[in-house]
Amino acid sequence: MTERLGLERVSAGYGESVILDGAELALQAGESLALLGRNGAGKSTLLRTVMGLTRLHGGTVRYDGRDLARDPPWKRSRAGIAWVPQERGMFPSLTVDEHLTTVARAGPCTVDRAYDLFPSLAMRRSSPGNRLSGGEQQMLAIARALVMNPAVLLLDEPMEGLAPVIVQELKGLLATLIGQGGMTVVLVEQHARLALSITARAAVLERGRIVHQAPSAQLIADPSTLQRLVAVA
Amino acid sequence: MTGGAQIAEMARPRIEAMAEGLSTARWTLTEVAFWLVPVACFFLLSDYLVLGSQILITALFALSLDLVLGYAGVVSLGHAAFFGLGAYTAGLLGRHGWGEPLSGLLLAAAVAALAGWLTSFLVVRGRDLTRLMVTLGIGLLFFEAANKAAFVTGGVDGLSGVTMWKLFGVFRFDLGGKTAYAYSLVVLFVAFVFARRLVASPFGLSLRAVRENATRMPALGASVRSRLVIAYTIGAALAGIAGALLAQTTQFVGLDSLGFQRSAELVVMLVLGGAGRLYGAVIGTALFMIAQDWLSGLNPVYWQFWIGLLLVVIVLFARGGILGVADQAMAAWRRKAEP
Repeated sequence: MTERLGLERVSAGYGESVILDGAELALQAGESLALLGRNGAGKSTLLRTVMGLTRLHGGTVRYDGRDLARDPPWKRSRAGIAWVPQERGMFPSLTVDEHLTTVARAGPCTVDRAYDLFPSLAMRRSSPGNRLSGGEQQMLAIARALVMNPAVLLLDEPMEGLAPVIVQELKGLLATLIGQGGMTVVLVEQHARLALSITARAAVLERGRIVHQAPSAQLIADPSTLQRLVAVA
Repeated sequence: MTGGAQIAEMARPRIEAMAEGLSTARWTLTEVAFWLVPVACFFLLSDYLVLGSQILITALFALSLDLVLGYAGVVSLGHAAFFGLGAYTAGLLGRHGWGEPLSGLLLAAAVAALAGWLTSFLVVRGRDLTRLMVTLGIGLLFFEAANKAAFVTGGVDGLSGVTMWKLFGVFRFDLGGKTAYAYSLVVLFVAFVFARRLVASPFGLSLRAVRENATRMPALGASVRSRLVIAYTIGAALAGIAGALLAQTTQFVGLDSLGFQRSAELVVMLVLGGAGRLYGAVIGTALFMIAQDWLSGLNPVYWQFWIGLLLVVIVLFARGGILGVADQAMAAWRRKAEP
């Protein structure tokens, strides 16, 4: 198996601040990872660093064996890394359809396929981004990433603030996507159990460093370790 | 696969998607009716065809600014640079023995596009105020260059002696302005169809997305800079065509075609009609120029007073220009209609 995404002693942050401090991580093609950790541990910053949206103080971010240091965010996206940010990032006046067609790239996930995955979006095709509910926005943010047919999908707390029934729907969908095995998926999630139940591996961040790595099944079967690593004390 | 090849591969489907987007947007009945108005004017208002041609040409110029300002969000106070460049290109061709109109338009577009592309790298840097100053500066540079190069451009006296051949070898540019009007209308319409498709294409949508959430676009694979460069270059090319039309139909190029006032008035017309909606450019231009014609007839000295007042009122009380107000009125009327 080849390495798809690799972080080597990565230190990064915003301006002078250092939030990631020597993070090490390696992901194979098609692998799924739950990225866990307490608030402020650096989970979102890690995803943003892969995307090129933070200041890299040291270390290397590798994608398909290539150092990404000089690539601006748009090149990383073009190369196949997609990121679903926590704040969703809708375009207020663009319709659901326009959100998707603007960024769609050739591949198995066409715009029509995305509508199959999210039937509730299909019904709101011509609604502008600022008229969508929180759940619909989150689905659109994910659908928008999927139609780019990425090799790596970075999801930053996609379940946050959603109604339980929608969380279940999204969970099932993510499990399906991960099960297909084509994409490398990194899922940042506050609900550790939910994330562990659909991923193969888990990594725990603490103060900007990966402090524990284990198969998800193993971690979920070991509540005391899980409690120690991620519980909000 | 190397990074470059991979990126090239990623870019290919986008171009296909773009071509697909071009054919999607449908024309509404209102739009068809809108375009029948200038056609009707040709037959009904044959005494006003000279003014009519000026309006159509300036509308094309405003349309080109709409792509730059309304869609790409780049404020420019120097757009006349490209208008003037197109005008001088077509004018010089006509003066020096090549009077074929269509090839003149194309060459003017190419020259203006090249100038637009070269200067775009200066313009897309920085924010609104920087851009305002840079475009203003570039406009002044072109103006003074043309002023200084009087041996080519005629300087303050203007470029005269422009001789145009018959359009398609059939239609002579007549004094009544029939050919000029029809020619300008067709060129404006073709440019409008192009602009309309462009803004509905994924490229056009991504421009809108950049304007609404610029920080989000790069993470979706769009280089903001390259998009603005393309939009600015296309805007320059269309402005060049407008300038060439003026040179060809009046067979004269004045130094004022590059002037600051032309740039500034254009912004006024666009804001008046409503920026970022294409039709606003045409409507704003028509109203501005008809008002200008009428008011300057009433009082040749103080007519700008009323234009100034109109502008202040529009900006303060009618956001989105005339079309913005029309939209709001329609929405209010619909709410009333369905209780």
